[in-house]
Amino acid sequence: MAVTIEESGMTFGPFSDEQCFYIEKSNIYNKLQNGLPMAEFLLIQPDKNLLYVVEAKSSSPNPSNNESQTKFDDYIAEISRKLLNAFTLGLTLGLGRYVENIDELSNCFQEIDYGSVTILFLLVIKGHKEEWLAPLNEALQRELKDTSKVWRLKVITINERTAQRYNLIQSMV
Amino acid sequence: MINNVVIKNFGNLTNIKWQNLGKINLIIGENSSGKSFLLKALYCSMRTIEEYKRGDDRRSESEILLEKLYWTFQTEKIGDLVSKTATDSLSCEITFNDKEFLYKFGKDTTKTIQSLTNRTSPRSSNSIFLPSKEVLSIYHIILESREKDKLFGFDDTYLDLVRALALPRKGGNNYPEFAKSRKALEDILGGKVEYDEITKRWQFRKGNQKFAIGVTAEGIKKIAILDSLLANRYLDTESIIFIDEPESALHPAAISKLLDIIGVLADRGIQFFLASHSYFVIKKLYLMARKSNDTLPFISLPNNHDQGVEYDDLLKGMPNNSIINESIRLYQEEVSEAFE
Repeated sequence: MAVTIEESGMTFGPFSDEQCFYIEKSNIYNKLQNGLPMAEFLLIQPDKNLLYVVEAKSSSPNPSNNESQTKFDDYIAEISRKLLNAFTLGLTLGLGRYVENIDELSNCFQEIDYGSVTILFLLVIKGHKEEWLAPLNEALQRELKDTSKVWRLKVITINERTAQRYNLIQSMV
Repeated sequence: MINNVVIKNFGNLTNIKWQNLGKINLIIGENSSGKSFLLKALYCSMRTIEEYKRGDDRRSESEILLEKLYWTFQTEKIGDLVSKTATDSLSCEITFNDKEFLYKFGKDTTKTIQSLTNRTSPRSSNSIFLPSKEVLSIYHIILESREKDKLFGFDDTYLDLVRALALPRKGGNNYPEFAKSRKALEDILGGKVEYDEITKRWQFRKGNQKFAIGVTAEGIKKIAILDSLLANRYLDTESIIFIDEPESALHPAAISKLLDIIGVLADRGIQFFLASHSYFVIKKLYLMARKSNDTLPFISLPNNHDQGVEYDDLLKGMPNNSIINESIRLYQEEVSEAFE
């Protein structure tokens, strides 16, 4: 079965439901949520040996003064928490910490070689030019530096055009 | 202040028409695009205006300019400054305080500027050129090479700077903005750079410790030069400062602080011309323009001048320039690498 995910004015997918864990629609998320910040979905591309943790946004604050600098810092911190929570939720399910929900994670996620898979935390922002994305990318990477180092994972910020180029989006809403 | 610049056939500057200049003006372009050349051309005109009729100097404007061009560009004959492919003369016109200063000469010129019109008034203020390299640790070498041996090597921008730095510091109240700027410069330095009259050498003093200038960081020496020129009052509120690559040897955080100081000095009246190929310099100036809502004109020089020179204002946005493009290209390279 194919999964499409509509978030922030973008339609991600269609992905095979074996390869995509749509967190918002999962029972485990409904059980845990209560204000738990969470990214949108996890995705595996077995042919590329890639595991994505994806967060979608339609805007970002411009850090041009002290007040908006605080907003910007909060924005980056919130996205970091969402990405990290989504990643650890996937792992904890795989490890069987929630026995009653273990079936929610497809075999694809259970069988992937976590020792060799490339893990990519991905922030997709709709309508952003590349010159705006570059500093956002730096800020998110700085915020997730420790996680990135410990897990040997990559953090990247892109717009919907780049997401389309890498087959994450097929059409825009 | 310099209001407009029109240059034709001056080296690789074949056709420049830069108008409505501001308090801070930026020249950008790749290596060999003529950024320093343009700065030096403007500097030569300004120093001619400033040296003419100063004190007991009896030289004509043409004599001053000829000497300035010869020792600044250091070509065998000044006719060599005319663009190789040009069929017309070199011409350089600046409008200074709304008055014209214009000169022209051809390829065969050796000893006389053919045509010079100077409608500017004599002035007592000084302009200065800050080269990309510092001069404090080679202070004596520059003086010896130029004043004693009369050799090419260090051009007039270096010699003039060394002479300006030799002026003793003055006591008494400086302009408040200058005093504030000096305090900010000293905060960046973390100490003071001083000329020791006994050893005849520059040294860096941090608390009770003194360091020879040769072992002091390049960036510190650059900041100290500006500080010294404010301290000895060589610069005043009518001065023009030409800075070639303000970013060289400076950490991006120090670049930002230096540019903030330049902003304060510009508000007090000093006009700045900066030549840069640093993303940080351009971005910081763009943010300064937006914050102050002040015009900040820039000229973008292509490597091949047939491609066209771009004139615009940072107040309107970041330039579409190869320096900016490179920062985006690096981002794109990182994205591609991440998905591989």
